[in-house]
Amino acid sequence: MNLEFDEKWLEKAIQIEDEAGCDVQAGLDLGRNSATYIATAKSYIDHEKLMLILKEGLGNLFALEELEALAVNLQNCTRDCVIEKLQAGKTA
Amino acid sequence: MNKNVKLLRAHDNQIVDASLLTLSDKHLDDFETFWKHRLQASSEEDRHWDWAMKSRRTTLSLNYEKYALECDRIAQGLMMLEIDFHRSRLEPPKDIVYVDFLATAPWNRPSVENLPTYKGVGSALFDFAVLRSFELGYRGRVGLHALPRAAGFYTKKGMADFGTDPDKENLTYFELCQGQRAGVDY
Repeated sequence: MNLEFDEKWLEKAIQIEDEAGCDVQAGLDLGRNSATYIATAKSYIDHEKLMLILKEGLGNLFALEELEALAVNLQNCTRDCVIEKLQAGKTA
Repeated sequence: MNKNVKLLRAHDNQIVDASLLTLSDKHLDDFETFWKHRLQASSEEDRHWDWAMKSRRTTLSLNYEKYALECDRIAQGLMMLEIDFHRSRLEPPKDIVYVDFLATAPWNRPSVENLPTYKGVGSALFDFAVLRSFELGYRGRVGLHALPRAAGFYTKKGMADFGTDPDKENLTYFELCQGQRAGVDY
């Protein structure tokens, strides 16, 4: 098959595009449906549970404010990793 | 790879020359410089897409082919294909070319501009995917998940509509069989 993208092809292509009257795009659409979820760092890990684990394991070493900061950092880092993973996601 | 393509420059109705090229860093720079801020400020369904990341993620895989349609020295459309691992739903288990991602520059979209700068960009990319399918011996079989606003185009191209795909965020899966009804004499 030897398809040439010449004037004849263009005429037909524009006719179809105009009749469709829409954009031409394809691919996974995660952002549209999950932007709010993705943008919320606390969507992935329950903050209270995380604080409980950190207090149990590191409570003797860190003050409560420091543990709070650790928890927030972990949640933000997790969110960024999820976004990266989803943006690289395949559709099949 | 360098394939000549004709596009229509809409504002003066002139046919202009464009080139279908293998995606390069220059095209990714075009995306960052010219596309990204316009998309992020819009309500477009792909406004969050990061083409540089998509490209990096697939650099080492022979399964992926990446292309740009360039006109006026700027990327007017981008496309990523998977040429292996996807099977036909119309003719299982035959191979298909799967359109992983396809997007036109925001200024070429009817949803963004009342008068898009260039017409024919999306068609050229899609028809090139069909051409690659023939070249690979897949007889024009092409599959894709359409963004909701683009579904009408794929219907017009004669693709079979398999309905929403619950595994793929309910995007509609379309498949073209042997290029027979795509509005082009393949």
